[in-house]
Amino acid sequence: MLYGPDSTAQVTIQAAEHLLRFGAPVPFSVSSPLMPALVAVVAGVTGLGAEQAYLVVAVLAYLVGSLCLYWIVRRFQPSSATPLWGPLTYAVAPSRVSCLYGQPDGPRLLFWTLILASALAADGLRRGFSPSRLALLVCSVVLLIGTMPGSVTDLDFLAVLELAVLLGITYWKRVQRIGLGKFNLANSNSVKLGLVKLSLLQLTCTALFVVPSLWSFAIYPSLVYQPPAMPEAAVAWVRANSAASTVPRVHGPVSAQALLQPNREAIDRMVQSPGRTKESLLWLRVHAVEYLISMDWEKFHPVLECVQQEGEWCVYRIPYPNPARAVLVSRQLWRDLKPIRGPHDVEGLEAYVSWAGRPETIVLDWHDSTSAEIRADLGPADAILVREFALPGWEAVVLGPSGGQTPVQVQQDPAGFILLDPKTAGPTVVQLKYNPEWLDRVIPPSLTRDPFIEGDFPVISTDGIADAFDYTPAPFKLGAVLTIFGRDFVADQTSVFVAGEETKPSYVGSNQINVQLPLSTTPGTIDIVVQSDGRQSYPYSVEVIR
Amino acid sequence: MAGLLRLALVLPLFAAAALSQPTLPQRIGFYQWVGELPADAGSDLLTEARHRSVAVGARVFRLYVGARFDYVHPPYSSRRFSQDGIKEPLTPARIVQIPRYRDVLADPHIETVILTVYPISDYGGGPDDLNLQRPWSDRERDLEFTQTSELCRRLYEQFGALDKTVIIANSEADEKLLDIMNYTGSPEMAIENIRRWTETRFDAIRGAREAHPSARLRILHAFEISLVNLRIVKQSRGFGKVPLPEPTEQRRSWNALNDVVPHVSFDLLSYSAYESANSPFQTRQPDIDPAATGARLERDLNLIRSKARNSVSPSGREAFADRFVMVGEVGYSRDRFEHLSTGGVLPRLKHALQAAIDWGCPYIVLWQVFDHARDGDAAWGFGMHDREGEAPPLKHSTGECTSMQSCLQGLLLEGLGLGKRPNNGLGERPNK
Repeated sequence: MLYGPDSTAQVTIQAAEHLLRFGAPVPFSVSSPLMPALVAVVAGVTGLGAEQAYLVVAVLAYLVGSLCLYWIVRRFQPSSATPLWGPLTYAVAPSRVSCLYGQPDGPRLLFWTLILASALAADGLRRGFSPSRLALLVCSVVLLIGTMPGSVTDLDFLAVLELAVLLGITYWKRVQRIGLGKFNLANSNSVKLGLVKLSLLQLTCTALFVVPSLWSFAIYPSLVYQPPAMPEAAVAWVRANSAASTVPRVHGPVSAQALLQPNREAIDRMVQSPGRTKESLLWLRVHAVEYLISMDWEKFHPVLECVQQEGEWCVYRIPYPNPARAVLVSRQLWRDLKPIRGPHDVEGLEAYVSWAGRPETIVLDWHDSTSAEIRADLGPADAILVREFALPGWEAVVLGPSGGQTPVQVQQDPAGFILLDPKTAGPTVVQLKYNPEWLDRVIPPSLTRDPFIEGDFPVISTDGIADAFDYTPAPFKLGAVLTIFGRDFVADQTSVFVAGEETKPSYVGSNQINVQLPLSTTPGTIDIVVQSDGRQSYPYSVEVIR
Repeated sequence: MAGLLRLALVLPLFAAAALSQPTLPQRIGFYQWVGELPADAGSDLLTEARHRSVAVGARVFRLYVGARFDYVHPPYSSRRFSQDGIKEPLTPARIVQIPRYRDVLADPHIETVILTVYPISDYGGGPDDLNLQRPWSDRERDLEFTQTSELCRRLYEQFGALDKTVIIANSEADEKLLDIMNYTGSPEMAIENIRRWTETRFDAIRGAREAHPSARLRILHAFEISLVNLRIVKQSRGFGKVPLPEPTEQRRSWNALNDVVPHVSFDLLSYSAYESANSPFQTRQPDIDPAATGARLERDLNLIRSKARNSVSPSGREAFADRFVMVGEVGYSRDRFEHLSTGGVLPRLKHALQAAIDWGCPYIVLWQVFDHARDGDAAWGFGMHDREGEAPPLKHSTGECTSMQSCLQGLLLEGLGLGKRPNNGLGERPNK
C-alpha cells in the first residue's frame, strides 16, 4: 500500500482508491469534501460507478463554472462584447481538462484564467484609456508571467487545441460557411442565446476528451494520467517493491459514507501538514500503509527510512505493518478497544494499531467492488478485520459445509473498518456483500457517529496510578491520596472523576496529579478518568477497598 | 580502567585454555533479522550480513528460519520465497535448502549457527508461523514435531560430517507469552502453549539426535527468554511488563523463567539480555555508569542459572556444565545511548561482553549486523553497519576503537582486549 501527497492520491483509503483506479487522484478529497460528497451522491442515486459518477460531476461542475463566468461578463460588461472575449471564455477549458485528469494543478489553472483576465483588460484599454484599466492590464500580465508554467503538459496542449477550434469557429470564414458560424458567440444577441451556444460547444469539446478517455478506460491511468508532481520512478519503485501483490488494490463500494469518513480526513491532514510526526505515523499504520512518498524531509527523514530517492522526493518505508487488507485480530482485545476520539488521540491510535497490526493474514478475494469472499482457518479467539469501511449495507454470511448460510453481524471497528466475528473455529468461508438502501449511500457518517474531537487528550500512564505516599499500586483504601502519572494534564483546567464523581485534585502538573479517593466511593473496581481542557482520558480501572 | 586491567588478566587465561575451550571468535557472533541492505550490496541481506559478520572474525551467526521473512523481500511480502522455487508446502527444512540459507550452514568460517525456527502452517493467507494464540492440539504438536524432525534430518544428511553446531531456538518466549495473553486474555493458555511447544520441539530434536549418533554435526535446542526481574501482569488495559523480581500474593504475575522453564527441557537457555544490559530494571533509566552493566548482567545470569538448572538436558549438561546460559541477543541503539552523558554504546557493549565472557556464556550474540529501518520513536541504530554499509563512528576515548566493527575486529581477529583499536584500522572512520 502506498501513500503519497498527490493526494490524496495514492492513498490507502478505499474511497480514494476507487478514484485512483480511474486515474483521478481525488483532488478534492480532503480539503474540500464537496466534490467527493457530490460524487457519492450521484453514484448512490444513479447507480453509476465511482469513476463515471466522478466524470459526470466534474464535467457538470466546470460547465456550470464556465457558464457563470460567461454570464457575469455579458451581464456586467455588455459594451465589451467583442469577438475577442467570447472565445477567450473558453480559457477555462483547462480547468475542465484538469478535472478530467483528476489533477487540479492550481498554478496552471491560474495561468489560463489570467489569459482571460489579460485579454479582457486589453480589450477594455483598447476601447478607452483609464488608469484603472491600465493597472488591470499590467497586473494581469505580471501575474501571467509569474504563473507561467515551467513546462508544457498535455493539459496545455489540449487547452490550446480547444481554444484553436473555438477561434476557428469564430473567425475562420470557411468554417463558418459550413454552418458552424452559428456557434460564433460574438453573434449572440442575448445572454440566453450565448449560454445555449456555450453549453453546446462546451459539451462537444468535453466529449472530445471524454470519449477517448472512456475508450481507453481500461488503461486510463497509464495512458493518460501523468502525476505532475510525484515522480513516476518513485511510484514504479514502490510497485516493484511493495509487499502487496498489486499496488494499490482497489475494492469496496463508493458512497458518501466512505468518502466522508473522519479518519480519512485525519490521515491526509496529519501527513500533509507539518509536525505531528507521531500521529502521522500512527494514522498511516491505522490504514496499513506500507510506503509513503513525501517531500517533507524535515518531518519524516528523522523517523523513517528513505528507501528510494527521486529528486526531492523520498519513498519512505513504514516498518512492520502487515499490509494485508484482511487479518485475524483478537476478539478479546476488540471487546476492550476504545474509540479513536480525534486526530490527535495518540493513546487510542496506539491501542488500535496494537490490536489491528497483526501478522496473521487470511485470504480476501474480491469478486467485484461490492462482493468478496474471505477464507480463514480461525482459532477460537480470532475475529476478522477487513480494512474496508463498515458502511451500512454491508452484509456477511458464513457458508456452511452443506451450503447453509449463517449471517454474521458486520461491526465497525474504531477506525471505521469492517469487523466480523463468526464465533466459529476451524476452516471458515465468509461471503461479504455490499447491498445498501439508497439512503444509506448518501447520509454523511458524521450524522451517525461521534465527531472527532480536536486537541490532545490527557493520558494516564500504564501502571500510572499509585499511592501518593509510598507509590504502591492498587488496591487503594478509601480516603487514600493517589498520584496519577501521565501526560497532557493542564493546570487549572483539570478535574478527576472517581467512579463518575468529580473530585478536585490537590495538585496538577503536566505529568502528575494528586487526588484523594472520596470516602463516599463504593469499594470494588472503579474507573478513574482525568478531564483536562475539556477532553477526557480513557477510564483507568483500579481496585478500591475499605 | 579497572575493567581493562581485569581484562588484561583474564585474556591470557583464555589464551592458555584455547586448546580445550572455545575461543572468543567461537563464542561471539551476530544476529541478522530484518535490516537495511546497503544500496550497493550485490547480494541479499542474509548473505551480506554473513560476510560482514565473518569479516570481523565472528564464527557464530544467528538467523530466522520461518515463513514471514525471506531476507529478500520486506516482511510479510506476498512475494516472499517466490523466487526460490520451493515446492509446497514451505517448511523450515525446505527453507534451509535455499542457497542463501544453505551457505550460512556451509560457510567454513562459521562454526555455530543459531536458527530461530518457527514451524509453518497456512491459516488461509499463505504460509505463516505456527499460531500459538489457539489452544494447543494434536495438530500443533504434529506441525512442530514433524517439521523440526524434518529440519534436523536434513541438517544431519547435508552437514552431518561437518564439525559444527546448529542450535534451534525460539525468539523471546516472554514476548510470545505477552502476545498470547493479550490476544486471548488467558495467561494459563499462554503458559501451557509455550510449555507444550517447547517440549515438543525438544522431543523432536532429541529424537533426531538419537537417530544420528555418529554425526559430527551437533544439533542443540535452546529455549529463549527475555524477562528475569520483570514479570507480566494484568493491567488496566491488557497485560504488560512491570518490575517484580519476586511474585506477590497481591498481584498474579508470569514470566517464562518462572512459569515455563521449570516445566520444559532444553540443552541451552538463551537469554535475550536487554533487560539486564540496557538499564536497571527498577528504573529503566539508561543514563547511569556503564560499568554497572556488567554487574547487572552477571547477577541476572546467575539468577537464570539457579532457576533453570533442573531443566537442562543431560546433553546440555555434558556440553556446557553449569554454563548453559547463552546471551541470545544483546545490543545498544545509537539513538538511545550515544547522546548519554555517562557514555555511549561502546563502553556499555564492552562491559556487557566482558561480563558474559567472564561468566562463561558459551555463546554471545550481538544484535545485529545491519541497522533495521527507522520506525518513528522506536529505538534505532543497533547495527554494526548502517544503511550505507559503513560502520557508524561511536563515542570513544583516545586509543579506543571507534566503531562496533573495529572493536569486534580487534577482539576477534586480532585478539586484542575489548575496546582496543585494531592495528590495521579497518573500518575506522574519523569521529565527526
